[in-house]
Amino acid sequence: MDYNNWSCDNRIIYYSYFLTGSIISVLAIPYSMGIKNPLINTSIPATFTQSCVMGILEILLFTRLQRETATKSSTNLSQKLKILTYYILTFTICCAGFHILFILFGAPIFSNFIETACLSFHIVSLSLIPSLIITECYIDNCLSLYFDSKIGSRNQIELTVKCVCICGILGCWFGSFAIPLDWDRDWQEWPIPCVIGINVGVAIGYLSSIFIGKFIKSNVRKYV
Amino acid sequence: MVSTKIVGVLCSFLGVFMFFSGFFPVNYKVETSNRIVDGKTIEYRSRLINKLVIMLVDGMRSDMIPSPGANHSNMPFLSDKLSLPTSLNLIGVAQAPTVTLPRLKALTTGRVPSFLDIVWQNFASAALSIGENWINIAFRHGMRIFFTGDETWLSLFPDEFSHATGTKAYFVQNYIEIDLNVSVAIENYMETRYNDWDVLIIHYSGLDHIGHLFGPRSSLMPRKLSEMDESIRRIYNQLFLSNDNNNVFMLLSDHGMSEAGNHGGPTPHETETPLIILSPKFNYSRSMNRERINQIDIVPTICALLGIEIPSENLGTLIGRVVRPFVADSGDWLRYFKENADQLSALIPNGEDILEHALFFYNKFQTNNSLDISTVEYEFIKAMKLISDDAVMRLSNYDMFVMITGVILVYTGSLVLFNDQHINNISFKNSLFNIFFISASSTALLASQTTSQMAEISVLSFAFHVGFALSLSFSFPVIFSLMKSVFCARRVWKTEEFDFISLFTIISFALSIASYGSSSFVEEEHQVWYHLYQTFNLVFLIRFTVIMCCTSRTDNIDVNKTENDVFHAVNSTPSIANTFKNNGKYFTFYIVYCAIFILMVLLRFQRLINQTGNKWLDTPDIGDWLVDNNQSQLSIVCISSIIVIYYLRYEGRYSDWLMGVGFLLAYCYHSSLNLLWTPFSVINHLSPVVYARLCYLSSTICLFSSLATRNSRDITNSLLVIGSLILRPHNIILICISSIQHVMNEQLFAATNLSHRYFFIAQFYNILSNVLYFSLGMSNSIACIDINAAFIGINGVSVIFGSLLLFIHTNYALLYWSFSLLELLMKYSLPLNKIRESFLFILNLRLISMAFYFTLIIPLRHHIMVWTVFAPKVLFHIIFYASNLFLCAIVYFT
Repeated sequence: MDYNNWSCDNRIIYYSYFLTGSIISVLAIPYSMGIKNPLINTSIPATFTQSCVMGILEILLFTRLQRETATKSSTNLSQKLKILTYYILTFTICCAGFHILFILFGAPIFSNFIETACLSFHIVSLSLIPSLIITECYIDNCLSLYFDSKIGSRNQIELTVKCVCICGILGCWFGSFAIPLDWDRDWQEWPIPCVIGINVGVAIGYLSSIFIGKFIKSNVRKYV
Repeated sequence: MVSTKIVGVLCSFLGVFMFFSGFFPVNYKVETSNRIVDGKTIEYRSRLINKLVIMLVDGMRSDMIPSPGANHSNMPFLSDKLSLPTSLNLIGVAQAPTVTLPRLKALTTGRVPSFLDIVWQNFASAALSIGENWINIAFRHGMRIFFTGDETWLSLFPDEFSHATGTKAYFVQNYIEIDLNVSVAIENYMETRYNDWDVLIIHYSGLDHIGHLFGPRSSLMPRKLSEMDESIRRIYNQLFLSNDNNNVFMLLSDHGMSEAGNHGGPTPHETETPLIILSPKFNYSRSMNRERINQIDIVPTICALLGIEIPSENLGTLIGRVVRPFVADSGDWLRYFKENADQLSALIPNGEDILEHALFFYNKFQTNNSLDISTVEYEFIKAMKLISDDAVMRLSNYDMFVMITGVILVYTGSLVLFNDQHINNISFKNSLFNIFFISASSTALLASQTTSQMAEISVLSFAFHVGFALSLSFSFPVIFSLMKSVFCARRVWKTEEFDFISLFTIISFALSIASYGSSSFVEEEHQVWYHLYQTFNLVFLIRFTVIMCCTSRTDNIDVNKTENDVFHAVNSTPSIANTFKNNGKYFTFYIVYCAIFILMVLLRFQRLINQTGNKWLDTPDIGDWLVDNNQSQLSIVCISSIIVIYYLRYEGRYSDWLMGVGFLLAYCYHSSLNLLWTPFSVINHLSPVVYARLCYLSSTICLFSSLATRNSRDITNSLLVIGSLILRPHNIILICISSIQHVMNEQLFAATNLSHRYFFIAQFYNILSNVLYFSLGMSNSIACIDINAAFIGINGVSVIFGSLLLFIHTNYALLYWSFSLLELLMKYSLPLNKIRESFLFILNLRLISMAFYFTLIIPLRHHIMVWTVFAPKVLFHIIFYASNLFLCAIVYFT
């Protein structure tokens, strides 16, 4: 991989700090104020709200970044509606895909449907929305971003998007290890460990992308 | 090279053996000071009752006892009696392992059973030295003890019974005749002609057999319970016929049974047993009912009733309420407590200090009768409980030194095995050999020494210590250099590129051993393996996509070379998906994706079949649904899965036909047991034993044909046949799933360029064998070992064949996947030394996880769950280690 053309938009770094901060505050502030964390104690409505808010934030921020790199911006309303439906459709398909994946990994099949759906909504809106926006929901862009080992990420935005997605999914994966423990805590209920795992993972993803980007930038400066 | 391997294997073997002997002290003895049974203590002791009947119903759970006065119960007589004040209805809590033989020892000696007793249960019960117990004490006192029931008692007490009728215990499938024989014997003994016994012991084992075969919710269970009730009624009527108020009837059970009908573990269903005592002298209100007491408390109680001394190693405490009605004088009454307390306090060093307070009260009571008797009684009970708990703690007496050296040896052994290829220096190798030989032999000698007397410092032991220290210090540099080379993980994977897959293989292994740190992950280990396997499927998917993307890129290289921004390339160049389409790769693309999806769905289905572990054990699963009254569905599932297996394995050779015959015979075996539907009732006229033996014959011929043709496929085939016979019928579908997985994995390895990476394949098959093991309903609990498997096709008891069958049944998953691995590697026509290496690699994985587990055990040895959760896992580790070793030996010597 060569990083000679490495470009770094400073805004993405501010956005990353902001989004990390918002996730950490959701997780940590209730404790510092001495109240029960709704995300951990009453799970579903709180999780849903959090994923909605985070999803909207990410959409707002990443579309601003995306607008400049986009191929063409259509002004036509019907074209815009088409694109919107396309995005919503992709989002729904992603949710359904993750729902099936969770079931394959051992989530209850028929019972706890809402919980599992909420979890898949959470993971898609927290860790997948940036990638969806950046790749404009094109499968080819996705494939070359994630699976083409020769290209890799070429700028800070792509790096961030990749880190967030991978770390979010890994966080969910590691979070599930807390479920079988016999501690009998209320936060061990399905899907709370996974939700927390996603939150922590996404936060780590944003932070790590900043530092990896800095590292790459310094190396580029050193050698070029 | 070979010598290094041998050193590694020997070293680790010795280490495992040492850890085992340190962790499970085989001959533990409570340190007893010589008890003085002088004339003084004997004079107050008198026999309180005339006749004692102890009826032991094997496997009876405390919730099988009807509530007193219930209208519609299976045991109307008993429930009627329980509603009277002349009964005591208690719950006796048994200690794990809840298996018959250790429980019988506990019920007669009052000792807490040693964990290893279960290991000897099937093999060496005759050679057991049981120690002092109330039966041989009563025998010494000239009492006549009659016995009828399970033969285990006769092997434990060959001389003590004046009259005994034993029934063959271990043929589990027989649950009617054995109990009829016992009932006939009871009729004889209750008649006046033979009525000269003092103690009558009855052991019914049919109920346990029904539990093993069909579970506690079986329709046979109510019938069996009413049969037991009828027996109780007869005994009761005869025993209390003459209005003899000094007779006592006891109903006990050795252990309960889990919801699956097995036992051995520590769950309440298995440990809570009924303890019912009937005597006309009792006058207790029902508020005392169902109090939980320790099951071994029955031992000092029986001793008090019979007027004999308490067994010296007893840990039980007297149940006052049983003895009290028979003792007239209150001064005498307290002596029973004092005797029990004295006996207990001799068991531990500071026993007398604990007892001091109670004795003070006792002496005060003797001199001055104003003191309330219940206060003294209370003090005694409190002190006795304290002493008993303390003694139980002391029983788990580990030999730490031996354990630690064992673990070090296992580590060094596995290090040597790991570095096998990289040690090229001859002199280094020689020194290695010497050092390990010295350290191994000296530690072995030390082990035998320390187990007897550690504290005693003699010249010999001192010499051994010095020798050990020297050899260890010599071997340290070697160990260190070995460790250094292991940390360069690249060298281990020398033959292969180190990439994402290798990294994930290592991570998966690290996670699987790290999970042993938590007791709940030892209980729920299956979750880890299912999770890892499912993730491996995803890893395949990612790797395949990466490969496809890279190849499509090289196809479009001329187009993309100039294009910097791939996002703009969408319209100008053919997309990746289009490239697939154009190159005809689109088809394989979807086929592979579908295959991975099917594999994932299969695993999801697989984990639904048998719930295992502890937390979700009782949730309903497909296996339960099929077994409970769904014979036709079960038959359809079995037939279709047998057909699928046969289709997948059929290659047109004659041995394949033999395999088909084997499957048919296995089906006939299950149908002749009325477990499966059969089109021709003629089939059921033959005994199941005949079918099972014919099935063994066909699979043995398969096995020998594989030896003749050197085709490992036949070994797997014969294993499949045996599996369809010895596994439960609903588990045949799991063998079917494994066959499908085997075929599909082979294709997947080819599609993802993994077929040359045998270390990865070895670890992957290791994961698969664990997945199959747990999905068969097995777990890390002793209760999951299905004793039933040891009696398939065998009339009566055969120690050799029975234990062989039990071994195959327990290790079925490991054996199946190892031979599948062998088959796969031979298909890839890998050179023999590579195959050997990959099997050694699996052995080494087992060794490392074992060593890691042992290291965890050492600090956790006083953990509350050590005997219920951690110790069984040690046993399972050792069992799997043995079969891994066996497989390695097969691969190396054929």
